[in-house]
Amino acid sequence: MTDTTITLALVILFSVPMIYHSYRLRGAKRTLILLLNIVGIAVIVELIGVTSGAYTYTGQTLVLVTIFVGIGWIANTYPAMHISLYLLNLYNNKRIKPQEALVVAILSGCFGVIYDLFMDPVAVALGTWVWAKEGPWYGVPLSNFIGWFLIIFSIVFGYTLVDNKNASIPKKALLSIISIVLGSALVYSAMKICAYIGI
Amino acid sequence: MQRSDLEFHIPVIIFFVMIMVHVYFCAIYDLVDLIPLAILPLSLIILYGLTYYMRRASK
Repeated sequence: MTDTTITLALVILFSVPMIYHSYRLRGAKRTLILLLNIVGIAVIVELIGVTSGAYTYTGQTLVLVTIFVGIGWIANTYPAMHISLYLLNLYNNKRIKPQEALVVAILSGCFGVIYDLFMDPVAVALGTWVWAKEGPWYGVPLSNFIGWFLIIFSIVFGYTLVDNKNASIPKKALLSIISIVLGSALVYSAMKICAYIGI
Repeated sequence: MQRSDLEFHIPVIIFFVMIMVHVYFCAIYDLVDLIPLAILPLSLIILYGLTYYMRRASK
């Protein structure tokens, strides 16, 4: 097996149980809305990142990167969101208020960054991806962690708000698309600011 | 721990496996200096576990 095959296999292996967990807890329709939010923002942001030349995935085509990040971000986001909801004791049948959604999203973003503080240096050392400009944290630039926080924050905040709205599934899907566009714009703007100030 | 209880904690179990896979890669590719960083995400699992046991004890 090639390195790319192993990476893809691991990413799928880690993501499938997360999807199963969401399906068991939320049902198929709500899980699809969640996956739409995760894959939508992650793919847009990562494709902007790769095409801008900020980093490159070693030995992977743009199609593979899209599949890799689309599935990979499920495994990155879901545990952070699950741990936040559990610690805040929000796993009940009550609707989550907007201010609670904000706290869940901030906490999830922080938890995602804590995971990436370990995972990214390992991936860089293994050559899974290469940063165009080396940063202070084991070669990883600070903008990466800001990006991780904002991606997970946007996904979780957008999904939680949409999920707790009294609306039909097509309307929730439409709201999710708006949330994906806004979330991607937020991350893109932050990355532009990071590039401007050189971090 | 019942089966449904275990099922609920799947994301954290998989999260632990994800961390351990990275630790394994560090070990086999001679990146031993990166292994202590694993304490960062592992601390989240410890916090989760403590919350679980505290809630179970207070029931």
